[in-house]
Amino acid sequence: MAASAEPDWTAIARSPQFRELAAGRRRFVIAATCFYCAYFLAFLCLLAFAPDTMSKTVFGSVSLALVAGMSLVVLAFVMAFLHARRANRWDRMAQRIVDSITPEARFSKDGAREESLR
Amino acid sequence: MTAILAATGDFNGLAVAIFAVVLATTLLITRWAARRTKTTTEFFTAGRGVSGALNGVAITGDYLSASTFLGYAGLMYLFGFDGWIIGLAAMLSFLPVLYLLADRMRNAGKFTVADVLAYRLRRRPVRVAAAINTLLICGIYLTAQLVGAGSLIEALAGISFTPSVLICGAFMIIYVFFGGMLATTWVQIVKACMLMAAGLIVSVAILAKFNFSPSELLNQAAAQHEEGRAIVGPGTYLTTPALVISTGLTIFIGTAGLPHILMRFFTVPSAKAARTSVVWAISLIAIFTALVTVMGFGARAILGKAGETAVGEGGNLAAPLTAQSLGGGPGTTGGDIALALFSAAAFATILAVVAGLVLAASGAIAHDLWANFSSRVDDQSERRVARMAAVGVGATAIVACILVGTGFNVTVLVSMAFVFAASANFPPLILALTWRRFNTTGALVGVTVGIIASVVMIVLSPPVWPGPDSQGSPSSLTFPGLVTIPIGFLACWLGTILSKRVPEEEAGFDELLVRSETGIGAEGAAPRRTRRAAGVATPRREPVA
Repeated sequence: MAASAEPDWTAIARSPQFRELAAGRRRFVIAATCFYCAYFLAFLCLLAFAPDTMSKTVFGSVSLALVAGMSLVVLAFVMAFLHARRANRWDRMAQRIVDSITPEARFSKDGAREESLR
Repeated sequence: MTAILAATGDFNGLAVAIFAVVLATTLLITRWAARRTKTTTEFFTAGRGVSGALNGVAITGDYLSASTFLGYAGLMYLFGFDGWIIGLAAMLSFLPVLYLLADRMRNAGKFTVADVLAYRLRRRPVRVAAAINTLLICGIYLTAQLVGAGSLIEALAGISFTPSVLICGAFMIIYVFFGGMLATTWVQIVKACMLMAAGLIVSVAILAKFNFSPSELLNQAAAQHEEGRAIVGPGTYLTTPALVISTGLTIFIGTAGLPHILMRFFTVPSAKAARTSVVWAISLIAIFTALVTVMGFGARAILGKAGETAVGEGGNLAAPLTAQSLGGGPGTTGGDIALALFSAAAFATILAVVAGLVLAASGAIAHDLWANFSSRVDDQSERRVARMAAVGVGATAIVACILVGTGFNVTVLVSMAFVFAASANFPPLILALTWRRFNTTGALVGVTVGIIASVVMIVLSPPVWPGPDSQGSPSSLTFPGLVTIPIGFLACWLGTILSKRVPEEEAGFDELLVRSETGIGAEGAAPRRTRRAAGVATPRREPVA
């Protein structure tokens, strides 16, 4: 078993290439997660604390609450596609990091690391 | 309208015949899958050969349980808008899954959620804790689904409770035992397509009845409800602010912590495919959420007040009865066919979801408990233990369902599963992936306190304290996530900062970070080591789906 070729994880983690990938991804994920969580919480809080406003109808019998709910459906679509588009760039960055490491490293398995922590 | 009552609970030959066709189809799928399930990797992950799009359809299937498909429409029939909040929260929970978990789980994990934790935390205790979580969540959710299945099939096809549970239970064990993840995935895909088709047809038929005017549909629905116009706004079901926020949060976080959904990310060949599958799932679920709105309000507009007794407790039969009414009403050929077809879709739903739950539970037992402690672990024995575990878990759930029967309060069971997932499973997983300082003590304290807090809050809530549906219980929260999720995170944090720093676990964070971000060392689509261990000399096929 070729488990001897365990990559130096800490060295990779500290390399500028990896830091750029991890930081870029972290920035996007944190910003986006804060946005959709805040959106959803605001939706819940409006329902909870301003039910009368949310019950107002905006066109025909369609209430503000229903419009807000539908906007969540659209939000889910849009956020998913935004992430997918951005993620392709991370994939390319990750691939460059993988390529810069010895080929054996790619096939090393989890076993060795787990044993050492037991 | 009394004819609606007569249409349910009687033996329905047509529905039973269609059920039989569904069962036969799933058996064919299982036979096909069984021939392709030779190694443990194939058993748990379908050989990592499921394409992103197909896995997305299967995730949609996992999300669309009977409680989603029939329950949300039923709640909307009974309460209007408020019934929809739960569905919206569950749909949105796939965003944190996509942003924080999907591709990173695929890169770092093998068979179970615990694989991801084990890179940096002490392997044995953390696997045990994760296994307890998975077994609790899946076991409880499984029981809830089976009890629901029994009542539902009894009402729709006229087969009584015990045989209904036995049939569902036996088939779910057969799928998992012989066909593993591949059979479970394809049963899930077939069922998701059936459900989407059924939902689409019924929704279009409802809209056509109201000249494709949402406003007209809502007018008619409001006219048919005691609360009138109030049903298009909040406040009819979730009556206090705390109840609205807590229910929304529990479902939002809880869905993201369900082990049988997280397990799906191990079935795809790459991190990119894992992301693709969530995008597919979100898209399909968003469409379905829109359809449920039409079905829920449509059921109220079409069945009216007169249907309130016929739809049963929780309104589960609202959607099937609406289909029947659209087909021409009870007693007509069209109505019977519509009811039977819709029921078949509901039946397929239950079968597929329970199979996924059994598979996740069997992974916890075989991979996280048995392989963790046994001295002689190889591919073959792990697979054997997994199959035995599937039978054991399935049989236990069946026996519990038959013994207690409808004595189980399905609402409490579902609530418990989601509260555990949100408060005890989600916090340690997210912290392990994002917080360098996090350690084993923190994870164990978090899981323990999360579970205890959940149990306490549920015991104090209205459905349990001191008897079902009692007034004056200490907590008003049926889904107490507002309290228990912060407690779960807090316990993880306190457990960590109050215990000693563990340098090797913090170094393990680097490993987990690099693995999860880059996919270095990730299990490929054709796992070579497993093949060798299984004694297979040459690759039989390249699982590129």
